[in-house]
Amino acid sequence: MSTIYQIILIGTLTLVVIQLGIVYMLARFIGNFINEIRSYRGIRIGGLEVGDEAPIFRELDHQKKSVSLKRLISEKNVVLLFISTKCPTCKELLTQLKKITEAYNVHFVLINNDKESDDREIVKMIPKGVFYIRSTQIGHIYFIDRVPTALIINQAGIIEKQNAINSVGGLWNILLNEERIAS
Amino acid sequence: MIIFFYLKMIFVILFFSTAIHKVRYRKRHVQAIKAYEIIKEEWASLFFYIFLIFEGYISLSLILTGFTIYNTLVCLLLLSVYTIAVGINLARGRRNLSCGCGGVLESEQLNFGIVFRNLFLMCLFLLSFFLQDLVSHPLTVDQMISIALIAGSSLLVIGIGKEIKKLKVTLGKLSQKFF
Repeated sequence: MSTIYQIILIGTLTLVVIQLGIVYMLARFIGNFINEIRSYRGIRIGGLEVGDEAPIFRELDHQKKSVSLKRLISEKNVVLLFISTKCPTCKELLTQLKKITEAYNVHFVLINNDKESDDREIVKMIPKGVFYIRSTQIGHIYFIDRVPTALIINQAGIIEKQNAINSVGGLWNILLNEERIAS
Repeated sequence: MIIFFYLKMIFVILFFSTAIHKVRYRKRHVQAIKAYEIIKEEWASLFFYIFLIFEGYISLSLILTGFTIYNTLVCLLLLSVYTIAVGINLARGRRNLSCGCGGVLESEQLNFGIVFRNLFLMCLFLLSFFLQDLVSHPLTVDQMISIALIAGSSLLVIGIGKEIKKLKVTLGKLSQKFF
């Protein structure tokens, strides 16, 4: 009789664990599902927004130098430009990078979310003073779902602007209120 | 004896689940180690594997040999490193980065709760190691299975609680936008 009770007890506990496991998986699934919904009827509901604190990261750039967002924002505002190797608009924007970096007193960090393709063409176009990082993870923590996207992070570590960029003009526009370098 | 076996199973499941989480989301954890800005970036992968091996060792050795001086020292070392790393970043005023804890312990933001939780786990491990020999009443197989299942349930309840808390925060943000 005691053996039957033991079997019933273990069976019941196993069922409890399975049920709790299912509830846990469901809760995670719902959480992930909500996070995946980026917009609804034009209202952005997922990811980071203007006014949110920018997630901190540290990565090596193409010259194997450490790029720390924390350190960069302690010096001046930072522009994060998310690109992809095969995106034509991104390459178009890169042609303007030199002019932009010469005009504005900001740190410019270029983040390529494509770690596989040959990026020599992009590396050639990077002007001096621009940090270039290849990382899928940074795009993930910033909830970037399209490229090119630009973010401006102020010295308090807050996202000041965030826009998907459709043209070269869009990149200049997002920088309009930034401090210019006196010529 | 029951309580020590329960604690042992809690630690086994905890470290095993965090190790599995680290294997599944390797890139995310390496990025989290880099984001702590304590060690050189080149060493992040190396430290990732060290942490993974330590966690695997603790869970396996607990099952095979119970609380020993070796797994106690490894656990204290591992949790101390995590606690110091979180403490340093909190002292620097950095909260907006994932703790990289893995499993049910994962947290999107750093907070002092993580420090206290790790200290609590360290005390619990240490106490279990010192006090386990005081009670020598052996457990039967069915008792061990039952306790292991209860330990699993306990951790799942904690995990569900955390997920529901996160959901409430997300839904709170959503309701602010829509209403």
